[in-house]
Parts: sequence; structure tokens; C-alpha cells
Amino acid sequence: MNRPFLSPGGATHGKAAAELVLEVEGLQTYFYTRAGLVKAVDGVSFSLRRGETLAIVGESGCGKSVTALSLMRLVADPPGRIVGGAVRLDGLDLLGLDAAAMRQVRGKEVSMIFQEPMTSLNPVMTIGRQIREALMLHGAGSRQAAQARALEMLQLVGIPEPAQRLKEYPHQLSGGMRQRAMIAMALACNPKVLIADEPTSALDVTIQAQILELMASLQRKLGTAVILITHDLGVVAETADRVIVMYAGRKVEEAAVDELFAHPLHPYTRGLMRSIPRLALMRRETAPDGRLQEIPGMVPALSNLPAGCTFAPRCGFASDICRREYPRYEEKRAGHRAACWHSDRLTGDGNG
Amino acid sequence: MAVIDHDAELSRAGANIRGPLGSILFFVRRYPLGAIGALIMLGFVAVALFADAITAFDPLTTNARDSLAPPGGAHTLGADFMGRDLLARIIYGARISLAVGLGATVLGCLAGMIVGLLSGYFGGWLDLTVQRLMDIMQSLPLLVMALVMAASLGPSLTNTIVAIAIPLVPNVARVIRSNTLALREMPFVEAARAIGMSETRIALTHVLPNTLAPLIVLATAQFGSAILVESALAFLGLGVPEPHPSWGRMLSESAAEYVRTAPWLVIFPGVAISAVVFGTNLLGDAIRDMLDPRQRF
Repeated sequence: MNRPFLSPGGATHGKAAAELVLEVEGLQTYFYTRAGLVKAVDGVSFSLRRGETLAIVGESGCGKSVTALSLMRLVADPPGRIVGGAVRLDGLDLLGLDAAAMRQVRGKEVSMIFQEPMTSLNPVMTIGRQIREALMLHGAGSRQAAQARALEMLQLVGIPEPAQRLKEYPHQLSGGMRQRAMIAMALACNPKVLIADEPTSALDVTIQAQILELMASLQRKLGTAVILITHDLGVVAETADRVIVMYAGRKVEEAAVDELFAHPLHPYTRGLMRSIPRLALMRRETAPDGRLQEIPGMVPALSNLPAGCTFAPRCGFASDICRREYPRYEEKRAGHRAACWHSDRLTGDGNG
Repeated sequence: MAVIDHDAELSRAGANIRGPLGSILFFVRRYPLGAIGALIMLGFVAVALFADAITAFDPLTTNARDSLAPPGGAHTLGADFMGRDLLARIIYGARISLAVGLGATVLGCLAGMIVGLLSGYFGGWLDLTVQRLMDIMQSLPLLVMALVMAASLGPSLTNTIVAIAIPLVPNVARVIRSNTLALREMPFVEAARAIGMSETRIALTHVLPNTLAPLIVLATAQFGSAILVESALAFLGLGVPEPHPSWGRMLSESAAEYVRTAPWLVIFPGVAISAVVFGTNLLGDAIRDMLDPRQRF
């Protein structure tokens, strides 16, 4: 459990363990459905240092949201179940906790914000009461103390006229303001880890930038570690320290953000980068005819994965071995891991 | 192109409402029928509350000399065959009707709310069992069900309320359950879980308050039918027992014997029942429109 994440020879074991706030090892979340066994998350491991932002990237259905829900143990059972692995928060095994103890962790130690600010707040309850609720559940003391803290949080997330807003209902706030209120609610108890599941996907672009900037500044102020779930590589480039790319329930690549963008070692990652308009233009990586490139095909049905590399059917580099055997997930460059048989063929023209 | 008077448009939309009086006036202008309904209901409530001050007659005192006295004269609305003042009996009867209506509605809604919430939020075998039970109850019409209940419980005011409340339960439970089924999948329920709230608390503080709007609409409709069923039960001799004045029984006592000789004994209690049910329905419709987000702006 003391494996340091990056710089294999660097920090001593004890120090590295103290730095790590969250460790996930071999997490497996399966869904037992009529269509068969769906391995939504299959053996995902990662760790998170204090104050770090880790982005988990992938297409819809790649298992990134289920990973997030698994950390909170909020996967609906049935049909889903965490069947293997370990999630340790400061050494505390979250998967072993009983329901009541887990409730004490949620919101206090690990918080979550969701994609839909429009519907993530209860329409018949004031903003103030919803933030207070989070505080009172985790022993904030009196109602007055919770109210004062709620006011402070609204100020912190930059909502104008916070005292007035506390008394208002969600429909009186715009989408951006609601997401700010959600962030205030999630951070009210000063959690160690904040999981943000597509926090800006439902917002328009200018508001997106504001919210990302807000999250980054709060993170600096409060020292919260953030897991950012997104499909938007632009957001990743702006905010993340480290990136995990997921495909079909597994990790396919992982690196520090600059390293990943400079040298993508998995064809899927490269495909993702090429299919983003802004980034593609900036990097002049568009196809010769100037059109955007897409990744051909679709994510395979998780209940019926192909043998060998799951990405092979969509991959331009795929060879016989790809279709036969799943590639080993290994370190290809310093601090940069990927699961691909042909990473060496990518390094040459990946940054061209 | 016509010139638009912005101020007039704004006040039509209710933008410059000042104080409670302003809100009332706005309601009256926006929902005139609802206002009439509210007025009728307020009237009945006032009559029930201040019954002693309104009529000098005691509703229970008999007087052989005034037997079947016609309207006008000392008895404004006439007197029944025992010489009891009809107006006084209708006024005191309002107490019974409103008490039964309110009691049965509140009781039925509370029970239905609990059943519907448990059934909808927690689901599983509990939902299945409870819903089949509700199916059985709903297979009988409200009146028949109330009849069975009233007959088995015996006549008294409390028993009448219970007898009418029980058949209301499945209607309320259905509405609450179906709303709960949709609400429990809402992101804010997930968000409440993510801040560490227990399922019971989520059901009570997040799901239940969101089901109240449709419940209020349903409750006003149930209120009217509860009063109607009470009258029907009394008409059939199963309601609130003698000598308490009940509109339904006043009708039934007189209908057979006196409808030709003393029609006022049938007409006035009938008008009272119709008016109160009409009032609740008008008010209920207005409340439904008010709570409908598609009509609110």
C-alpha cells in the first residue's frame, strides 16, 4: 500500500504514504444485468496526493462515472456491486465500512459534485437549508453556527449577495450560480477529497471557465484533492495535474498532464485529442484536408468485450497480437504508463 | 400596431403586488371562480364557527306547535316535523360536515402519504404487497367501501371520519407513490446521499415535500367527496347518529314523507350539500392551476 506513485526511487515509503490521501487498488465494479455481466470498472488502481487534481478521462460508458460512484459507494445495488479491490482514505478501508460509518465519510471526508446543477439541488428547499443540512449531518453544532458557515461558504464560492441567496430557492439562481452553490455544499465540511463528475459539462463555455477557475482557487485555499471526471480534454489541460485515460472499464494510460499531451502513448488517447476541435487547431494536428478526425466505431458493449485489446477493433495500429492478447499496463516513459502493444510506434509521430 | 401599456401588462401578470391584500386581489382577478369557491368555503367555515351567534334557535329543541312550519315567519327556513328550526340544523350541520370532511381528508392523506412514500421509495416486496392491497381497496367504489367500513365500525362521529378516511387512502397513496418513483431518481436525491444523508431522512426531507403540490390538489377534491359520502352515509342511516344534525340525514328523513307536503325540508339541506361540494371543487381547480408550473409565470 505504500507504493509511491511517481518517481519510483524517490520518496521513502512512510513519507509517500502520508502524502497520499486516497489509494484505490484493483477496483472492480460489476453490474449484473439481463444482458449479462457488465464489467463497468475492471481492476482500476490509482492514488491521489493531497491537494492534487487527478483527471479521469474517457468517452461515455468507459466507466469513469461508475469509478467515482464506487469511491463513494453510491453504486445502485442491484444491479451494481463492488466485487473487488480496495479504496483507502488516509489508510481507512472505505469498502469495509458499514453503512452508517460510510455515511459519516460521505460529505465530510469525500464530497461529490454532479453534472446537472439544474436538478442537483432540491427545488422546494432554500439554498441555505441545503448547505446547512450538509453541515448539521456532520456535527456542525447549532443551527446558527451552520447558518454562519453556509454564509461563509457562499462568499467563498463568489456568489453575490450571499445573505440574500441563502434564503432563495434553486429556481431563482442561474445555472452557474447553482453550480457554485453545489460546490459550496460539497466543500462546506472541508473534505479531503472532492469528486467532480463532469462539473462543467452542463454549463456554457464562459461559465465553465469561471467554475474551473473557482475550483482551482478553492483547491489552493483549502488543500482539497480533486478527482475530475470529464470527457473534455480542454478542461483537463486547464486544471489537472495528472490524467488517467479509461477505456471500456480499464485504465489505458496515465501520466502527468504535460507529458500526456506531449506524448500520448495510447492510440485511444491520441484519438481523443484529435477529435477535439480547439485542441486540434491549436496543435495543427488536423487531418490534411483540414477536417476534424473522429475515432471510428463505438465503445464496445461492456457485456461482450472483444478478446485481446478492447480498443483493437477501432484502432488503426491494431495487429494480430492486439486481437489476441490484452497488452500489459506498464511504464513506457518516466512516470508515464500505458497499455498498448504499439506505443513505440506512437512516440515517433505522436508529437509531430 | 397597438401601443402596449407596459404597466398594465405588468400588473396583469401580478408584478406590482403590495402586501397580503394585494395578493388576495390578484388571486381574485386571476382566478375568479377559485375566489368564489374560496368565498363559499370561508362562508361555511364562518357559519360553523359562529353558529351560536348566527341563530337563536337550538338545533335539538323540538316544538310540536311548529311542526312542519313553512319558511318565513319565526323559522326563516321553516321547521321539520318535530318543530326543530331548519336553519339552525343546517348551520349546526355545517360543523358536522366540515369536521367529517376535514377529519377524513387529513386522516386519509396522512395515512396515504406514509403508505405511498414507503411503497414508492423503498420499493421491493413491500411495494408489491401494499399496492395489491390498495388495488383491492380501489376495486370498490368510495361509497361502497365507506358503507362497509361504517357498518362494521358502528355509528359515531369518529367512526364516520375513519370510515370515510380509509377508502381515501389508496387514492392518496397512488399519487404519492408515483411521484416518489420519479423523485427518487432525481439528481438531488443522489446529491443528498453524497453528503451522507440516510435513506429515511432523504425520503422525509427531500422526497416528501416535493410531493405536496399534487397532494394539495388531490386533498381539496377528496374534501368535497368526503362531505358527499358523509351525506350519503347519513342518508342511508349509517352516518353521525341522532340527534346531531347531519345534512345527509336531514335529507333522508324528509325525502320520502315530506317531499310533496314540505319540500323545503329536502331543498335546503340539498342546497347546502351542493354548495359546499361546489365550493371545494372550484377552489381545488384554482389551486391546481396555481401549482401547475406550465401556467405559472
